[in-house]
Amino acid sequence: MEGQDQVGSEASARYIYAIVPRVATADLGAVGIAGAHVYMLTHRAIAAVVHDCPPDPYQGEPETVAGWVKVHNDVIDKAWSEAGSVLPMRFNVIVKAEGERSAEENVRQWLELEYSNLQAKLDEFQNKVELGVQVLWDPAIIVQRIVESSEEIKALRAEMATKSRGTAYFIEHKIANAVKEEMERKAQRDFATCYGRLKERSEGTHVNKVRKQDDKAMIANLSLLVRRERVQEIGAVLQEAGDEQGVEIRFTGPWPPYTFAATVGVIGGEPESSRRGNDS
Amino acid sequence: MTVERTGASKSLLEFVDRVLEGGIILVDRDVLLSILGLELLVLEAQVVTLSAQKYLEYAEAVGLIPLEGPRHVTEYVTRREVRGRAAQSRGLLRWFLGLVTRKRRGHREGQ
Repeated sequence: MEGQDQVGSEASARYIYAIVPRVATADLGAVGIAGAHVYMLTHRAIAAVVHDCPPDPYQGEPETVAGWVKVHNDVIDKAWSEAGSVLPMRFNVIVKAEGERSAEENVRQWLELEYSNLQAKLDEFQNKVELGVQVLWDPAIIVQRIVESSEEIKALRAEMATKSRGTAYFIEHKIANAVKEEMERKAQRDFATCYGRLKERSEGTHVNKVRKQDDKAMIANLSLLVRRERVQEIGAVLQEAGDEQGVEIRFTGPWPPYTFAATVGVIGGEPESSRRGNDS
Repeated sequence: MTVERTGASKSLLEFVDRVLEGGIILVDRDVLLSILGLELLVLEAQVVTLSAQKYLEYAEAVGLIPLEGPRHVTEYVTRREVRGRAAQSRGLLRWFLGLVTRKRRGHREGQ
């Protein structure tokens, strides 16, 4: 890697945090990963929020990486509040020099190539925030509620009480299946209701993978793109949805629009001048 | 009533969903053209680095994957890739086709 690096390895690459509309504040100070000096690399009306670094990914102990991930987000938050809109990059996106071209030139070339796209996205995300919503169940409570409320299960339990041991064993299995099915139905129903109510108040929604939890069952993990002024309203909807025994709702934000800005950009290679003309 | 507003103390899982799985990524065009779209997620970028291994270690640390030996990690990687591809293939394909089209047009114009 270092062999291709014409400027030397010390700080020849650029770690990119985000793309923002151009602002007067070009310097964010030593707020970056590992205390790096963060500044705006401005190109026309937009800017990349960067720090100088060696052309290697950030690697370390998991706790250290977790700390860097948070710093990455903090820097983006700061740039976001300065600039009003933001396109966050994923953690550890580093652009290095290549051949004759410096890292800075590579970044600028990408900004130029994707200029209209980036600008349109920045406009789109103006005054919008991402919210995270996770719906979790306490399985013990939910199962108990189902057992107590389902007529089918009530009947099976009554039947079980009157039968011999062998027959009761089979009925027990039937009850277990009935509970499982009812839980799945309820999860689908609750998800649909919650999702529908959030969707009509959001500019965009994204269903994330459900994560494994220690003692809770995650039935929904959503990202919402929401107008700033509607955050309270969303909170109220969630308040209502969470007002049910055994249901916990985690509501985080405002986040920069990571989920909705997620895309793959292409960088490096031959000069773009000929391709550029074809795009317009 | 248990709506937990965790704005001030965002959980690690939330960071994983966003900072490590969302956001814009960049790939080297040379790498891209040699791997054809769907293989995109397995690339170890040259100009741009995403440090997948570190992500796995991090994910272990925050309890997203069990620490039961390398076999499980491998399986996890495979599953992640498959899921990731399924979820992103539509967008990637659209984007990739756009790229190929532009590239072809560029070639034609160059001739």
